[in-house]
Amino acid sequence: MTEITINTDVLVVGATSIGLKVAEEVKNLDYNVEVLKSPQDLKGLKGFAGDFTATLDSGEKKFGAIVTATDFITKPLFESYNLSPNDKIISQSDFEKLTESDSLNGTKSVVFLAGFGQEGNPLVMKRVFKSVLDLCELEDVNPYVFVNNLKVASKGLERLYKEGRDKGAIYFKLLEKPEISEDGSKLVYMDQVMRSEMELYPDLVVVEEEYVPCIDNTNLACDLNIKIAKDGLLQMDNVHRFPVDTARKGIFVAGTARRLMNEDDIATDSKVVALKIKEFLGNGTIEVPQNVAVIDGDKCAICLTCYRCCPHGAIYWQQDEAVVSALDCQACGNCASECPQDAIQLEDYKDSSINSEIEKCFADEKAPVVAFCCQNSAYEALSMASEFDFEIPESFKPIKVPCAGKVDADYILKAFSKGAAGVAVLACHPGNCKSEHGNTYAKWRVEDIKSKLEVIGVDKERVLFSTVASNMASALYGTVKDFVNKVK
Amino acid sequence: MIVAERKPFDEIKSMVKDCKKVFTVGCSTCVAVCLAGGEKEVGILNSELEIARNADGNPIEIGTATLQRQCDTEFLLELKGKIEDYDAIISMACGAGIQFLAEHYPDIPVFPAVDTTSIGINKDVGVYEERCRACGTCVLGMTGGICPVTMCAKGLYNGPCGGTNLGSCEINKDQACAWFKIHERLVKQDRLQNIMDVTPPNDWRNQIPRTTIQPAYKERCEEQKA
Repeated sequence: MTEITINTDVLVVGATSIGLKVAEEVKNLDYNVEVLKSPQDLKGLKGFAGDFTATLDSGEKKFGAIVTATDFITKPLFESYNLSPNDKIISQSDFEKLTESDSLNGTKSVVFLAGFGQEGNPLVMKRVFKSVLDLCELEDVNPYVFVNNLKVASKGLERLYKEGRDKGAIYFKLLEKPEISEDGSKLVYMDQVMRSEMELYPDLVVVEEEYVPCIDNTNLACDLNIKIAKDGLLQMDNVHRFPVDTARKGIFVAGTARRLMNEDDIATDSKVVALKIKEFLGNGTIEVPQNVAVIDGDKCAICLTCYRCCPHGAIYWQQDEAVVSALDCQACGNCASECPQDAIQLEDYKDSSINSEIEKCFADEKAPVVAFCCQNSAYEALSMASEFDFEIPESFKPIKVPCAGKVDADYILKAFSKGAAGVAVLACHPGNCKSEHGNTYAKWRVEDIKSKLEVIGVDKERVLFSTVASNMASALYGTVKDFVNKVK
Repeated sequence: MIVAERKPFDEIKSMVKDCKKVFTVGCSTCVAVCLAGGEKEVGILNSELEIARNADGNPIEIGTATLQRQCDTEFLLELKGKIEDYDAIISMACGAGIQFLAEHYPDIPVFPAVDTTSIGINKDVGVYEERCRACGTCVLGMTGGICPVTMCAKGLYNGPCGGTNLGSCEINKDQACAWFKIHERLVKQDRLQNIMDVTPPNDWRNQIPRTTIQPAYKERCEEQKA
């Protein structure tokens, strides 16, 4: 084992509530921390875990780990209530500003609207409850809250709600949103108790706001070479990873960069991030893993395919060859199966050893069913199946692979050229691949192989691509049995 | 490889005559192999420009870099932050590289320093012969490995024209007649039957900007678009 020294400074991107908390926690662990006010202050990032070079306004600076800590922004939902803002119709944020500056003089009745523009959530409700309590402090002001579902599943929220009601706030829980006149002076609603249409003449209408992910997330994800989820958040749902981890080593995603959170969640999450950072940085010396992808520089055509396909951002190039950063490589083998020159080998899964595994499948069986099983799902499910005494057909020969994305088109064709009755590629469920897209790449590759086989006269149904979870022994057994019956 | 040759110096000089600062970008792949636009040629061009402009009493400041390839975004991005202050970029890559560079830095004028001549082979040090016109429908299997599109002046698909002259082409005595050569080779391989049937013409409507997506990547390409 080789030991190397890494940088232990930490860069937090976003001086948000979570960002500052993470910085505090990390500082307590005796690491140097720099906090960037906004993602826009990060002008670029190069390098790898333990040795990142960030371009900042002050110039280039080295860091060992990066934490993304962006926040949500709020967007008023006027349109959902068919309203446009004016001096009588304002957003929740604007109302909070009015209360802060004591500018509510002369306002007698205030209407809050929540839960009709979006499915309510505790963060939105908390702001309404607080505003209601602020109003209750004033003399002669009547707060009315028109709400769909009251979401109070957060610490102390029910108490806040009750407190407001006890102090005189009136809540209307409606099935349909109330109708409000364009100038905000008249409100008509169907009262659920009176069973009749009622009217109210408020001085001020306050409209709820939705929380949308920081728009800078897209650029930040691009700069950090991490994936962005469809909803604009910086974390993909992935059962194989700890929530604060990204697919890249040394880059963490904290709190509101990942999902909407209240203060308690933020406090907890900042501690989790700090722990994961400590786990990674340690005392600044780290063992370089040995079982990673290795590129044969002589064969490398520097086509950049591996760089583009690596789910973990672990590949770079220098002079005329691609190079794997051993600290970042997670040995999934996606690069190896994509390399057009076969220049990449995984220490534990060399092409030569997989080929001899394929060879072994034919030792006691003339026409076996060769199955490439992802170690994170299918292979586990298969061990479970034999543990449970499911009778896996003898002709079914599993070969363990680090990820379905490691299954080279060549392996499948080789198995057929030796006389396999069928070949199965068994991967993780969509969205569940430890290496982000290994399962998807495998699916595409199998599709391609099927069309090739069809052309050369082999029934394409002899190749199976199927997804499975590690705890689905019974389902996998069914899939295997059906496939073997079909091709044998 | 793609073959190019350096443009005449005066043409390059005149393209950048109004520039005080230019950045010359070489390419380490095809144009380096054919000795037109690699690091060495970049250095030579830069010196030529400096000497000439100094002699004119109008000195020029030159920045320089030679990329692995100018036809890959990742390599072009290596120029980011280095070229923005320059009045112009001189590219020594093939036409594809020059265009891709200009596409990535649309605010800066990009000038070509080479003429892209062909897809060819290396005959000797500094000597390159065209072999392929990228017609998109290869007939080399039928023609014994000799391309009638490239090697026949008329690009004929069905035997020589009336200008074939004892193995030479009518355009030039030193230019071999492609169909004479094809016939000769097929006879030698006993495959003359290959060219007995009439070959339909190539669909030259394919000569539009072509996008190639390898079959294995079609689906991922579509999904990524969506």
